[in-house]
Amino acid sequence: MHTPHFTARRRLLNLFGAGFASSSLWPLLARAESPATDYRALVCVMQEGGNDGENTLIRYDAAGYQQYAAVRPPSSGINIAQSALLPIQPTTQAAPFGFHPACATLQNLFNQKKLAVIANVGNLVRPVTRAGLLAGTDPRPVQLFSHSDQLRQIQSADATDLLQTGWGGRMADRLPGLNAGNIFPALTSLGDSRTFIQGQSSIPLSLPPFDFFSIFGTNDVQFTGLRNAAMLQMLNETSANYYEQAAQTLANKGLQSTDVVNPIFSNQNTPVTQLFNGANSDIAQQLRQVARLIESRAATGLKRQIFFVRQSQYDTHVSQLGDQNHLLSDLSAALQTFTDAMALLGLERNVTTFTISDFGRTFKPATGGGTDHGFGNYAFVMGGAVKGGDFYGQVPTPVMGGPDDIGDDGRWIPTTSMEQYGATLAGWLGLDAASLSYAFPNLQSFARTDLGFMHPA
Amino acid sequence: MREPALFLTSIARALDIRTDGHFLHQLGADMSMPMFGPSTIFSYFPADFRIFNGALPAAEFGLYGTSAYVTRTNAVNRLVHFRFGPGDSQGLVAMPPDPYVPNAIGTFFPTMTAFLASTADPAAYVERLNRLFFHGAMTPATRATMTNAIATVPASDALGRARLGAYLSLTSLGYLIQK
Repeated sequence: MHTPHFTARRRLLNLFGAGFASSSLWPLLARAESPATDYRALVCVMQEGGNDGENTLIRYDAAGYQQYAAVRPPSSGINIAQSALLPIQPTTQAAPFGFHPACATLQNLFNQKKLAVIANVGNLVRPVTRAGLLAGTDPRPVQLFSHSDQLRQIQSADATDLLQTGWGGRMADRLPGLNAGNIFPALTSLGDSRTFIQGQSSIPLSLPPFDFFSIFGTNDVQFTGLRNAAMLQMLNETSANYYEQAAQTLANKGLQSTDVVNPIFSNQNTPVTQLFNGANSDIAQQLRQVARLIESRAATGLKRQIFFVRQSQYDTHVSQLGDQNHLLSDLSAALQTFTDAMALLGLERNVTTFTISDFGRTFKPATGGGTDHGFGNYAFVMGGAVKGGDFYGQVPTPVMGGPDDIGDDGRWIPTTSMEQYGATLAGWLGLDAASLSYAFPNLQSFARTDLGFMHPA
Repeated sequence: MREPALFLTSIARALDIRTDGHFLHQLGADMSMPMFGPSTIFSYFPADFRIFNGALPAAEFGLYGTSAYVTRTNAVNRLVHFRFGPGDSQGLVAMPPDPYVPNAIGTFFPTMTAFLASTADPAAYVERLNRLFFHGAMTPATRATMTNAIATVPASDALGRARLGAYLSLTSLGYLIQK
């Protein structure tokens, strides 16, 4: 049962009752839940646009690759040669698979049993079948194949599109107990504001990829104090305008965090910062900031954190080979450096990184060397706490018009829902059953709520 | 809310900043809005982005998180005070043109010439800023704060007064949220 929509006034009261401190200190507040004693963090990597999973992981055995090449021959413009693939042998799969040539990091982590592949994840109202979908007796996600709608639903874990919050934000709503009441934001985004980070009661910290986070002074040093005092006085005026109120809240939240964040971002000499030297891609810059914040976690005092980063332009309707290669190359390199950073910090088992993407793409190629919007997709989970080296969930039968296709173009009907995927991660983070139901209101629609890809706590 | 492109172009027009757009493009990119380079076909932020648990449509808030106030304030600082960050050098009057762009002129920072005479009377200057940046909707509290701050700067420092007034206006929520 979904949480009913609040009225607008209740939502406003909920937001402004979220415990903002006017002080620059972050006092601990008493909570009923048991505070965590160890540190754990989830890092969400959103591959925005819909990554083509069928070219990220390809069947590597002769028969499987032939099946792939029959649908995606070289003439399609999106074929990847078998010889170029990076092979892996999942424990529970009869045949091997091959990673995209640009995914060396993923292959290495998989072979080290630190990466798990979650097969055929997607937006689901409840478990469905091809027959039921075609007959109209099984529910489809609202506005299926619509880019903006599916992107929102993958972040809200709500295929009925009622929820306006994200499952990352809802997890953050439930972290104060584990964080011993510490009100420094538990969720930090380096990838702008997206639905994933929006909670009901928590406000995410959105940070830039710069080496500073503070207000600049003026050239006329004598006026800096005067200017800043007037600026802050104006910022905190009472306003009846809801948009000004929202902007004021966000601005103050940001200013409050500068005391903590700016020393972290402006320190160029930390071991983690230096690991990222030369890593200039956008995704690397975002993960660099995440790694630095984790390195300096003592400054926030948080024991449970969620981070959000975003890599865009996966919507490869045309020119997919080059574009996806570029994106996956950047991502793979960035993840390698991030993994190295977590190893340097001794936090490999404490930080779990996972991917989400709007949807998969059609197995059938589109004209122009691309693919169209699909449905279920592969997701990847990596870290020392992951039961890696294997696939979880059901790999779809790669037959267009077959039992796992919602139509005839190779749009695989998901067999694992975002709720199940997210709840498994949230359970590892430490959310109890009640909090899991809060973060994933539709979780009870699925029999299995823990997919088993994380080592027990 | 003024999205970054409108935020910056309005400043440039009001302060008579001569620019080929290159520096403004950089500032916009810092605000996650690199002009002419959206990451998806759905532009820079979701058109259906909402705040307050979905109570209010607020598309532009997709680019306004907790870091935006700091980033935008620093952008204003760069344009008004010529300050580019910790440890920069003073005395800059312009950002140089991009050598790879034909006929580029760079960005000339505002001299505030048109405003200097107004600063002799802080209240009158604030009213002028009210009409220019607030569409006449400046609150009495904002008016009082700005007038008092500007009056604190010696009258002989007309440029200092002019810059302070512009800075306070452009970093205010009254300018950010169009009413």
